[in-house]
Formats: sequence, C-alpha cells, structure tokens
Amino acid sequence: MRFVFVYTREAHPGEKCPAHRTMLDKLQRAREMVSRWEIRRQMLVDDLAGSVHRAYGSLPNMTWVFERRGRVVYRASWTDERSIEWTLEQLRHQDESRRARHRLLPYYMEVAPSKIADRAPFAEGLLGGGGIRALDEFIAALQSHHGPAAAAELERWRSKNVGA
Amino acid sequence: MEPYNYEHFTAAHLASDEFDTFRTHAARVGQAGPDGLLTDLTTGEPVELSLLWRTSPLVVEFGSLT
Repeated sequence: MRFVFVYTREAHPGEKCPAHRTMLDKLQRAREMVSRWEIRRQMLVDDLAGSVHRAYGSLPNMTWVFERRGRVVYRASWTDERSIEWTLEQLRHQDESRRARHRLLPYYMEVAPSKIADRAPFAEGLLGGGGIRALDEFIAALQSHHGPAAAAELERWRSKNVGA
Repeated sequence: MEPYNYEHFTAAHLASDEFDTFRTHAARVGQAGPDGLLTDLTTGEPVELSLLWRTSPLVVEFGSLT
C-alpha cells in the first residue's frame, strides 16, 4: 500500500499564504506544509494550473484509493479516516481471500454520510495558515451565502480569539 | 471565469456546484483514474500517477495549507 499527498492550490489564500503565482511559490508552500504538519508521506506537487487536481474534481481535500493498475475503488469529497481505513481493510481481505483461492463476488456501494462541521479547529487553521484575511473572507462568504446565523459561531470565535 | 489560483475566497465558492460536479463527472468507482504528472517535492523529479499505482494500491489525499 502506498500513501501520497498531492499539494494543490490554496483553498483559503490570505496574507500569510497568498495564492500561488509561480511554481516556485507553490513548491515553497508545499515545503512549509510538510514542515508544519510533519507530513511523512511522499509529497507530490501539482503544476501551477492544477491539472491533476482539476482532473480529479478540484475539491479542496479529497481522498482517492486506487487498486493496482489504477482502477478507482474509493473516492470521497472530504478526507475521512474511518472510511479510508475500512476500504484498505477490504483490499487486504480481498488479497488474503485470493491467496486462499476463495471465489470472490464483486459488489458496489455508495455512501453519503455527514460529519460534524467543527468550526473552532477550522478557524484556528485558517488563521494560522492563511491569516486574518482568510478567516474574514470565509466568514463574509458564509454570511453572504447562508445568512448571518451561519457565520455566528465563527464570529464569536473571532471575537474571543482575535478581537476587533 | 475565475482563475484556478484565486486570490480571494468568496460566497461564489460556497455557491459553486463543484461538489455535485465531483459526484457526477469525476472518475467513478470502477473506472480508471486519469493519469497525470506531478513533481516529487523531495527530489524535484516528475512522477506519473500511473507509475505509483502500477505496483501497489495507492491512497491519494489532495490538500493545501489552508
């Protein structure tokens, strides 16, 4: 099993982490990410135009699992550790079953779960990674698209942790 | 059309149908994933996705600092 991380455009650019203008910018930000998050997986950087990211759907934090020869066995719009682990366990079980010469019956499933939208860690990440502009732009976007109530929790977090 | 490397996150990003587009247009389970060329951050060398999944199952997470 091989695990890689593909570094894409910045989802929430800000004064600490502006949008990439050159490939050098992008490589430098990728190095910062590896250092800050202590990433041990192989880090791969997409081109400046995001060719691979766009080919796979452009979402900010997807995970895909491929079996040998590149067939997609799992894809998720948000990275979810539990379902990835379940998928990898299925692949291991399949391999063991094949080695034991069991007959396998392929099947298909789709799942559309939800997860808790934990605003505080998200806000900390935005502030720490992107800066106050990244946080403020996200708050403004929430207010504009979903209404004032949607941004209330983040605004309270901002008041408490950043001030006026 | 907004550039890929947008400078500002806006309500338009929340309104975007990119999650629906992912569900309906990106490679489906059972299909072959598109190949692509990436740069290995450690070595600076180009790496083809297809080379990575050729010898073992592959888990790919996409993301950024923010």
